[in-house]
Amino acid sequence: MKKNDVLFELTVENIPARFVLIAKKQLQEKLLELMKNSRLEFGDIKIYSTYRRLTVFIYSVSSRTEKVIEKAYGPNARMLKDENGNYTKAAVGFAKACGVKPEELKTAFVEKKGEVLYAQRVIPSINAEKVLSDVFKEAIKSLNFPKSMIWEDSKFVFARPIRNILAIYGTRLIPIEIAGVKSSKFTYSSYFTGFKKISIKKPDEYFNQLDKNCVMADDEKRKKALENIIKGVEERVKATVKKDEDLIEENLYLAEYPSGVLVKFSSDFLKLPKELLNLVLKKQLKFFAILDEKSNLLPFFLGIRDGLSVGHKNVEEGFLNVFKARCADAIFFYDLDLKTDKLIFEEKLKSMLFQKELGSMYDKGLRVRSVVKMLANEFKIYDENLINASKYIYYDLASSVVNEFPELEGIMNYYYANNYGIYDEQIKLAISEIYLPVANDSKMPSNQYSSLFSVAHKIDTLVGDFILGIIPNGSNDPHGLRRYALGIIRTVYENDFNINLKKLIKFSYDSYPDDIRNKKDIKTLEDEILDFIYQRLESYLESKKFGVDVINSVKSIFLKEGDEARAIKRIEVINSLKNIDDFRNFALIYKRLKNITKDFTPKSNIDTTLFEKDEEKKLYDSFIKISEQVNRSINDSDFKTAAMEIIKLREPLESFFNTVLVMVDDEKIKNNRLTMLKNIYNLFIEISDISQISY
Amino acid sequence: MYFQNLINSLNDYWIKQGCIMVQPYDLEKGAGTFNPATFFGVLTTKPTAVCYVEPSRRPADARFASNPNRLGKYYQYQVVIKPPHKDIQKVYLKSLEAIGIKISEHDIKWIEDDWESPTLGANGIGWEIWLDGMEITQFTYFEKMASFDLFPVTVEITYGLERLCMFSQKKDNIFDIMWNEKITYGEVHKEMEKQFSVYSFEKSDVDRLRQDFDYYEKEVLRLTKDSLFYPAYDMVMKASHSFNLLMARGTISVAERANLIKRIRDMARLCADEYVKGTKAEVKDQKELK
Repeated sequence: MKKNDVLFELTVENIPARFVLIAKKQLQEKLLELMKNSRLEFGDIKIYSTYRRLTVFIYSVSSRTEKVIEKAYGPNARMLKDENGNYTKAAVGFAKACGVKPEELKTAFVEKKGEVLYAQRVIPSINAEKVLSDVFKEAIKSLNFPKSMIWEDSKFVFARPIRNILAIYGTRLIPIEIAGVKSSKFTYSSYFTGFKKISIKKPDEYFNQLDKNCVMADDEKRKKALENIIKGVEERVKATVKKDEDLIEENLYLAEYPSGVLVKFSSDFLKLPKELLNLVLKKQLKFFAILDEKSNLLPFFLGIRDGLSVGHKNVEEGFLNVFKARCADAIFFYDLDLKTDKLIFEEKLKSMLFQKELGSMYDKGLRVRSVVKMLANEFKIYDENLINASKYIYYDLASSVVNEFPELEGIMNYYYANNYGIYDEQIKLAISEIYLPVANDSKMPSNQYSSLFSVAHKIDTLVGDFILGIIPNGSNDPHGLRRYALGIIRTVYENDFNINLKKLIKFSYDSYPDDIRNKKDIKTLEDEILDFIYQRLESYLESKKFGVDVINSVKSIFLKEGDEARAIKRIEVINSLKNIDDFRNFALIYKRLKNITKDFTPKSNIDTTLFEKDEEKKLYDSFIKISEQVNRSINDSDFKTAAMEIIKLREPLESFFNTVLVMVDDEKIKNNRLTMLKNIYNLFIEISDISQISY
Repeated sequence: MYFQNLINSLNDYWIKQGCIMVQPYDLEKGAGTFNPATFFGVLTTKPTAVCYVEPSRRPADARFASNPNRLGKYYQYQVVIKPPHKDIQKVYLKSLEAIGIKISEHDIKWIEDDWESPTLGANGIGWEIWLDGMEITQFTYFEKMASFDLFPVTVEITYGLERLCMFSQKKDNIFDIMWNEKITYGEVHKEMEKQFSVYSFEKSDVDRLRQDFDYYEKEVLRLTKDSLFYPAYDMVMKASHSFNLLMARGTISVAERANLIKRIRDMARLCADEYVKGTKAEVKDQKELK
């Protein structure tokens, strides 16, 4: 049968980038499903888009559906009519199900069933245009956006008003009407060429025609163009354009014909905090920052313009002016904050609610401060300056800059630190990094003070919410507690922040006033929070690609004890040693050790006078030789050294098992041998139960 | 283009598009949307097409005439059309050509920006329009006004006249805009801007503003009982302005703010209710005449 390509283009008033991407994905799936059910043969389905076009190509579509004859066999022929000559309920039902009238029913002979009712329906061949018309209508109707609107009499629901439909099968029009718009063989160019009418005679001339009219309809091609612009600018200024994926994507759907506009600005603006300047560029203006080799901002930015280079100077000037205006605002707020007395921030914090029942942000600050105190004592890093600094961790929430740019919470504390009377660089960083890490793979607190503040900040929210019963379930986690729990785990582990979690929970619990604490006892709270953190820990460990057997070998003994940091270290060590030959061989013999001493509990010390064979004595000597070193290493959390020492026992163990019979009749000798073996077994159990490692 | 010519050109252009040019409403308001032509105009199915300049007062935005980009009182140019043209985007872009901006020589972006006015109980879907990066227009399809769902939809196009003029005259300070060939915007408005900044931030009578607010609210209740929705709506605008002045003094807590906003929204709803009742009768009359 003859085949043709299909082109369908929907022109819509400007849709935001995230909507375009949602639409593309949904459209691809829906079209595939609809085409499969359409009885038309078809090849690839490709979808392209700009901020005002959704374009579909379906390749090699047959020109008609095949004529189909559907046959169906029903109940016994006797069921056709009742004694009065009327069609029975069963007959009418069968006819309806087959899409025929009762009078069209026939009878036929079916083996083993005899004479039954028989219906035959002919589904005629339909031409492709008709089928495709329904397919597209259905597909477009099915799209779901985060927000939609109605705008015309048929009350069709879509992200933004639909203004044109181009739909052709080969050279023929596919007649479609959606939202009061009738399809045609035309599309329109972009605004900067005056929305010129463009005739498209057949699908394969679409991209060329649009290209000629300055529209890059293919997203991939447009992205390449954007990347080339960036490359060109980098060569020109001999620096790096900050390649922010979100920003690239946003610009990709803000221009149908991107051209680059490189703008130089006065280096006076570089005095603004770089995070603030970056935000102004990215969020407020959608411009790309340009960096030197040390990632410092340079006094240039790259703006993407939609259009040709006509009037390039206008655009450059405009971009610079709007940048200056936005910076003037930012400078205004920043200067205002620098001039504001910290007591004014403090007053504002008191009226800023943390959570109903849990007081203001100021109250939260006081609680965190007392947790910081306890932690500092615990780690023996108590320092008046540090404790004083913890008072200020939320002060920037009251600043004008954070009010305008909430993303800068925490960060601005660094810049206001002098106003708080904080001059120590480490402590300045600490008060600015309390929210770190913000995501699974984001930056960690950079020093031990930062870790301390960050953990204290997070545990306060966890404890408060858990006391009130605000515990995440399913996708419902309004305060981001999962992220907080993961943040604590990562800090504990990756930053070597060795705190017993039970202790941490207790510190935070104690910082809450009585009326809050009375709502839940510490034991219940501990169990709930540890359980919650433990769930995050499991997925964290899995994400680290540790083997399940390795995790299990440590899990039942050490995880959930509160000493998560040391537990994870054990996992790490076992994971790294697992495939070393000596270790593997030891693990195998360890299994034997475990089995033989399973039901045995030593009642006395090893009695060397009961030894009968050399191998017994040798094993004992080796054991004594390493024991002290092993215990010391374990105390220092140096599990690797400990493990390496213990596996030295493999050889004497093997000789022992080869020559000595453990289960002898003499109870004394038997128990003495078992006691030694159990002691060796217990030595390694301080690290992991490696009998669970699978080889 | 001079400031006054800019206004004239926009008037000419939109009049040609079939709008009636109404005049600014003679009460203080925070935005052109408050003008009764918009507030009531969008509520029913009756077609409407109006354009007008609207002085808008935002006391909290005042900066003692010291900020080159901010004013406590400025001018909006407002176009309200129901139902909108099918090529309304193009019609809008042509209005820029009408004030001397050659579209092909500039970058124009439509940035998603859904508009909302909690005091009017209004919201809509739309964009900020950026001309070479500068926001010059808010373009909105209204979905709700005074908590009523709207159909058919109305398009509201709001130009920031000072921004546009700064752009057109290549000025980086509002007060340097040429009003005509001799007089600057600063000469017309700078002293006023300074005095009103002092008033809004330092001198306004807070107790009196609160009393006024309560009084206007009572009046709305009293007047809407007699279906006098126009005078009642005047009171809503006055209450809203009192609220804005109170906000500028920074004496309103978060909780109180939410409460005052809700009270204004409820007042606006009462006026809209009465208007809709009235025009239903009117629409019916028209049908009967046919």
